[in-house]
Amino acid sequence: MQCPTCPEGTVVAFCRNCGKGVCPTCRRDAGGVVHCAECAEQIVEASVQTDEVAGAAAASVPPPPRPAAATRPSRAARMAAPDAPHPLLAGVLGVVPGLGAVYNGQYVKGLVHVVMFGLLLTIASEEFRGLEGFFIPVIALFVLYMPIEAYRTAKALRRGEPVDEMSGLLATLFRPSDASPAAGVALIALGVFLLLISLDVVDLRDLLPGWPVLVVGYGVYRLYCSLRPLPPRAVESKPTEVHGASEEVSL
Amino acid sequence: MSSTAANVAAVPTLLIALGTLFLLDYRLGAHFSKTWPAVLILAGLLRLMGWGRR
Repeated sequence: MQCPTCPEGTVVAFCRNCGKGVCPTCRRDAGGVVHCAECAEQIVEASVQTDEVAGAAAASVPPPPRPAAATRPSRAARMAAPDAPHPLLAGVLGVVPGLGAVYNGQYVKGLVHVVMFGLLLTIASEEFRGLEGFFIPVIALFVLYMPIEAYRTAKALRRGEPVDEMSGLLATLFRPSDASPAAGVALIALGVFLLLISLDVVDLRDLLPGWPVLVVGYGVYRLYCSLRPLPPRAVESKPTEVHGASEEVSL
Repeated sequence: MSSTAANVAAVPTLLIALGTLFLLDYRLGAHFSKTWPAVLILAGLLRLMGWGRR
């Protein structure tokens, strides 16, 4: 769909205020909510007016001393915090698939949770074909993950931190990455493996004795990654990656 | 396929695949509980074609 503002832009989201489609250029995120440029401008103007009124009222009162290390939250943060969802309620609602995410305003994530939970139940509703040890923990973990994720998201919203539509584990799994084909190859291999089992082409009990091959294969992959020369950009930013976001460095 | 095109096409493609698998379940008796790993394979192919890349 073409962006109504930019002729060459493609619509990637819709403004929560007016419903207009926005491309990445026109998109404005405020407190986890997507707005178009016009609506975001109006909201900022309204916030500035509110700040001026509050400032005039407080002009006669000396401001309390603030700690030097304290940082002033962004305007979006101050706007988002008062009506942010309650973390405990989000956690309780999160027990129901998708409801916690919907309560936090993450409608797409709520839909994804419902679909994933439904798919897991559909797959597990018939015979497990020897995959009980895989599906039962996955379903149990997913049921635990949803309320925890809803609680954490609500807490982040309450703190005024930016939260996008697909925050959490899903965003970690599908976060933008560089050109490493490992994730794609792993998905294909897992899919072929599970497809062969579900179509009774191979029996899981025959394959189980070969599980150490996976450990060896993963070890070879890690060795390859550690011996591979780093690209120049990665070398420059290596200290930051080690101390900050270490997800890509250590699995 | 560029990464942008793959990002745009990924979710619709997965939805089409899911719908097709459920249709096969209802019409031809190929149970979804047997065919679902095809979605993983498709997701892996889309990932190789650029889905989720910068």
